[in-house]
Amino acid sequence: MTHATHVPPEAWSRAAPLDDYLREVVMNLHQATDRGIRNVRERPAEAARTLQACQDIIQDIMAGDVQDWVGD
Amino acid sequence: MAHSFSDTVELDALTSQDPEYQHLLKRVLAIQADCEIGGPHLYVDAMLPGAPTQLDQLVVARTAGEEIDHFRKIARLAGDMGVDTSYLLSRPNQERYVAAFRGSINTWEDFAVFGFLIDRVGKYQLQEFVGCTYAPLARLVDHPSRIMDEEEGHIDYGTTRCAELAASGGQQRERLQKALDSWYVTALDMFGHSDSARAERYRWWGLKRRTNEEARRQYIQEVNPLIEDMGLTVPDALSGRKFV
Repeated sequence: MTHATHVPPEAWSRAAPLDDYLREVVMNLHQATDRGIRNVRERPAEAARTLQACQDIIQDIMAGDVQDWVGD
Repeated sequence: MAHSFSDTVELDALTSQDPEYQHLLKRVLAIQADCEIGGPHLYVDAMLPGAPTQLDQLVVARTAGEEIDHFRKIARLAGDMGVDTSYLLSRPNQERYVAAFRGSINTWEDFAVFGFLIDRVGKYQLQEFVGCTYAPLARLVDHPSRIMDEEEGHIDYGTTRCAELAASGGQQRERLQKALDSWYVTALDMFGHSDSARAERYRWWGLKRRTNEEARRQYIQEVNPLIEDMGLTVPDALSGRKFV
């Protein structure tokens, strides 16, 4: 049963912007890993560059500088 | 205690729920978010450059990306109810909620066993939310669920790598058994105390389905035959445990 009249909670102000930011970062990371996996056999040097790009993206996320990503 | 609360709660009805319900929901989301991002923090530093092949390194990156996305989804649920979990992105490993995420993974054997055993516990944790009373959370894990499918992929990858390492024999197999011995105990502890009063409240509010003991027992029934099939020794289920 869902109640008829309610006051929804106030969302954390950065909830939507952070969601958007991380969604895009993850999409870029997935595209990069897909590209790397395609290249790993025939073009290992290209795959290595892709790996470095993945590493940079992941390190950026692990640093968690949310203010830098989405502001106040 | 049986599950007694059976309403379906949407976000807009959350503030009119019992304070205990709101508290437990916020708590479990924060813990889940912590576990999702805690995984990559354990292994990316050493395993992104250190996995045995370029393909394995890319799979590590892909796995980390999927876990980051799981964090995003849980963090959004929490954020929509006013809870900021962004501090978890860069929280020091030693401060993680769950002990399994407080160290670091520096060997390929540990990474493989982590997928095989710990991501499997993660699957059990997510299964608790299937059909739960908080509808946005239930929708995240109800079939077909990307988060569940990706978690299954991590488990399969870890299981396959473990089987390969076990089959290679010798010192490689010994290192794997050592990693297994350590992570097995950690995995069983992740289910919590068998007589946890809080776990019973989660069940009462329909935010979890099984008792800690039930889930742990099912996990053991699933994982022990897999360990034996690899020709490895199932560790003592009680030795070194913190939560029994």
